[in-house]
Amino acid sequence: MLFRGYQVDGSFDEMFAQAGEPRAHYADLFDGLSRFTPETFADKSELAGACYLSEGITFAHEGREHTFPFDLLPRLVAHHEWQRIDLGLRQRVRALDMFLGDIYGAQRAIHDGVVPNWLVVSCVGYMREMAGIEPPNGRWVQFAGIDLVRDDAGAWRVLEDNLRTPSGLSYVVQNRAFMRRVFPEAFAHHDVAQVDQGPLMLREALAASAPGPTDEPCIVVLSPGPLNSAYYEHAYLAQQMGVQLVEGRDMVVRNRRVYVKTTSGYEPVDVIYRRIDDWFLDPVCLRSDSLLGVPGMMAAFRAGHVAICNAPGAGVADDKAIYAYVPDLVRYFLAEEPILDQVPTYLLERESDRNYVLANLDRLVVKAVDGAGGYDILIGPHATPAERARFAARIISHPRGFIAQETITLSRAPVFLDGRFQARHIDLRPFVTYGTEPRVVPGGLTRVALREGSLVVNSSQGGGSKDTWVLAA
Amino acid sequence: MRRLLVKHKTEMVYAGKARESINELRLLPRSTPRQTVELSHIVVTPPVPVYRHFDVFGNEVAWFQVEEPHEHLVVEAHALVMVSATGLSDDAIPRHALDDPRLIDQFADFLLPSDIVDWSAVVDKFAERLELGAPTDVAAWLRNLERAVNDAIVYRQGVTGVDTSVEHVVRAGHGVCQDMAHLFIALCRRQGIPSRYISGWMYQAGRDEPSESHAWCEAWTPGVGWVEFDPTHPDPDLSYYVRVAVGRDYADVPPFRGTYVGDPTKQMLVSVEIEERASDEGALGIIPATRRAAH
Amino acid sequence: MLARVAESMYWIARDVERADTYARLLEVSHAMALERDATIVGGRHTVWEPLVEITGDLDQFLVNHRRADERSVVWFLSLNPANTNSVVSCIRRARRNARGVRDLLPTELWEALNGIYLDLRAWPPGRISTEGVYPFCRMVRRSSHLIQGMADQTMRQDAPWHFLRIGRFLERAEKTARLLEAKFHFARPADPLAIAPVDLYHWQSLLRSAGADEAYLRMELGISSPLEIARFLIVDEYFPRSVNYCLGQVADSLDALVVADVMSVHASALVRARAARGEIMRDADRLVGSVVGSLMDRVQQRCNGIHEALDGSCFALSSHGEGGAQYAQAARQAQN
Repeated sequence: MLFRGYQVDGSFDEMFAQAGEPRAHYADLFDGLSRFTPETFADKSELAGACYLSEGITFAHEGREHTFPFDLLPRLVAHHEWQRIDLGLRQRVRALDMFLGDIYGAQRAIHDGVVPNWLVVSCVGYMREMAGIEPPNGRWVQFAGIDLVRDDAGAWRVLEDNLRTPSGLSYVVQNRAFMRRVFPEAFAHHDVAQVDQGPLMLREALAASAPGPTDEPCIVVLSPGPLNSAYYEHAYLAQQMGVQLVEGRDMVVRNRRVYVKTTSGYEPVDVIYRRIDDWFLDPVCLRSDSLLGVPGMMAAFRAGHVAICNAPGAGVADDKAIYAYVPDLVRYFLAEEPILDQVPTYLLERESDRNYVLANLDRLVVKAVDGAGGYDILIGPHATPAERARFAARIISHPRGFIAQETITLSRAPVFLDGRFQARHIDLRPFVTYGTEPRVVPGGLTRVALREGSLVVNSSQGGGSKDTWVLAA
Repeated sequence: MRRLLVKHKTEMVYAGKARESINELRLLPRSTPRQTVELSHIVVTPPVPVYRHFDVFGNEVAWFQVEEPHEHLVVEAHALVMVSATGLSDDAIPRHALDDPRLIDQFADFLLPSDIVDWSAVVDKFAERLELGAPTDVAAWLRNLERAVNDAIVYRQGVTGVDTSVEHVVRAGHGVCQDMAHLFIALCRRQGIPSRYISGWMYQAGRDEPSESHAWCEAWTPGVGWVEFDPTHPDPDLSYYVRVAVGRDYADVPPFRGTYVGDPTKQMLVSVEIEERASDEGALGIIPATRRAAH
Repeated sequence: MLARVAESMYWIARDVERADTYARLLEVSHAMALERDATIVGGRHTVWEPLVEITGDLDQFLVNHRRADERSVVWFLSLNPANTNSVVSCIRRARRNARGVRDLLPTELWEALNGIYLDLRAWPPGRISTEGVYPFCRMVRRSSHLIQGMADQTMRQDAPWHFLRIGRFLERAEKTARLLEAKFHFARPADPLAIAPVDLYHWQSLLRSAGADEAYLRMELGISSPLEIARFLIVDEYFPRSVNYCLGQVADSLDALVVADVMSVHASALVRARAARGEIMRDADRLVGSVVGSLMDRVQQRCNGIHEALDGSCFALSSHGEGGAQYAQAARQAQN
């Protein structure tokens, strides 16, 4: 009844091998669902939605507050699959961390021809201020969100890296909490890896980056404030980690050290988990009109008196053209073969790639190298000829700004809409913390493209999410 | 060869008071093949510690913070520099030597567009009208470009700003040394010749005008290296030029930038004094000991 | 605790309490004016001018308004945005502060505060003069009670909550003292120990203005004498609007903050609060009609002293009060 009319064809379905035939790791869940009617399941779904509303968990989009639609059916990941993903993510983040240290330091990878200098210095996220600065303990990336998808053969692929200020961890923890509250019976017969420790893992990674010998480093979460769309997450993570939430105006630099302005005087800060954009961190040497940062913060950082996490300039790794080189970077820095596959990518600065792409725009996906939130993306098969022509013009005038990829038909999973389950495309954003060692929060945020056939999963464009279960066996 | 003593003074007067003033300065010259720096230092009033570091382009940056309220801020940079003139070699250097991919990659920052130095169809048309041809002989082409920019752009103060785009300069047909330098750099980069911006001081010996901050540029000439050009004063005698900082364009090398809290700035006064000193004078006697900053 | 957050909490509570007080004063004064002919000169003097005096400065008021009467004063106190202490200005300020500390406030508290802000924004000024003052004041006071109730019932009683409490009760102590001072100045009771029947109504109004009429009557003292009323409003340790009670709450919260290490043990605010309270208890024992006014004046000074002590310690580092904006150094020197 719930799966009446459910379409399995056209992509890899997470739950079903064929119509009516769930995959092995989904079998128990499928059985359990047979006890529900569309009405009873709809009631449960509404309850879940109400949880978000009543807790006030919203994000701001275009001036209004929205809840992030939550679908009650969890997304399951089989144990053996996760083991490989876990290893691959840790390897990848380790390599990216070394890469960042290298481009702002010795630049061996550039000298050895692994990645061209022009590509690196032309990244929007490349920060010349950081040349010659070494973060405390040499760690550039304490927290990363690596987006994964499954193609139509069910193979896992890295879609993109997010090392600037990856968001979504709060939803991972909250989704699980709501599942336990609203749908506890689903957990029967399942051994699901926990995710509650996510914020503590982050805290540990941040603490490990504190400069100097200190037992209890003072960590703060630096937020742009309540008007920011992700403010809820900033406040939630600060609370879950047991650290203070601050804005730029709550801190001051004295003697090249950073302090918080408290009711009992200045309190020294050791680690800043910053959720503001690189360029707004310090108006003295970066954007002079920024009111979100702390004047003098970069001098304190340069002097090694404070850790900024993730380090400014880490956005180079987010560049989608750099993405094409990451497998080579893994080989170069770790002398290992990359465990995770990527999506074949065309670099439009290369004439041959560019010509191919322009001739095949109707089949390919074109993305701006520094785009975020799913904007600035052309999905060839779904676009109109006019949209394709506009993108072609942009490519020709600024090829460095774009890359192209074969269109991946993302996997789909059942989402409860209009009284029954319907297949929708999903992706997965696992979170990796990196203190002394990279560690992965099991699962991550499964994002759902709610519009039928849409491949765009981001929250600001009508996406939703699911609880993600990594099965322990 | 000249031995030049430079005193660069910046004075800020605030409408009321300023506090929490944090600033970065690029006012300390560095030794290069062409100039040797004997002494350089910075004095800030009110007196505060000054911290130094090198930026990505090798410029020496001074950083300081004035916490308490103040009505005036004075920054003085002193430098004693030996300056010589060097010029292009007379041999013609072929264009294709510039196409070595490793060279091109190393100088990516100076070949790609930057904040202020960018080009468009308007700039390209302007370049065509200069009728310089292709740079087969790089050295000669650069010298011609220097003269051509000087001819095409009328020197006029007060009509452009610190971040005026190259396209705007071309449309307006006038500007100051900064604009001409940016335009020269744009046209070089367009031809695949690495080119960068120099900020520094020009010694106006024996002229009625005071010495001043000046902007010029340099271009990478294969087999020779970075050669300096000044579209504002073509074919310059470089022994009058003290280099302070280099970058992609002005935005990389502002002499003085920062933030403060308080009342708006009422006035900003900048003065540059340069005098020539004899080569046998003891350096320490030239800069009074009492005014040396302790680092 | 962040200095900015502490100061925000304090002012949220003060502003909501102030809006509540002024709404109550407005309601009571308006009722009084209805029953006496307020258009005659006598009415103006007995009702509207004292009201302005209590809430602000009469001379300053008369600079901008021809006279203090029903129309000008009601507008002044309720919806006039130019009056920094009008009900609408207080609520607006409170909401702005609340937005900055939203994650520390219960959702329902924010919703109540936001709700009254939106209602005030939508309230057409003309509606006050047609429907009267009562619906307006009732709406404001109900919201204030809801907000204060939310704070007390749903917040964990740690540092942020204590700053809310300090703000609320410091404001209340000060305004009660102000009210009494003004009353004893304007009314100037001929006999502090008894009330002439013709003046009974005034003293009832005083009690109502202080929100104390029912509590007082329940004590079966009857409305016997101005001194008894004054003593009740100053000293009663069980009535939550008496000056003594309010200062007690302030002192308790300050003490809790010191114990929790949120406030420096050297900060003088706690000492001042305790001293003020002690002073009141001593002087109230020897209370005579002639000194009520001067005692209340001193109480207000003590309250101000506590506020200044907070400004100089807990709130000292908050960026709120600092003047001046952030400027980029005007150092974009053109190079010629």
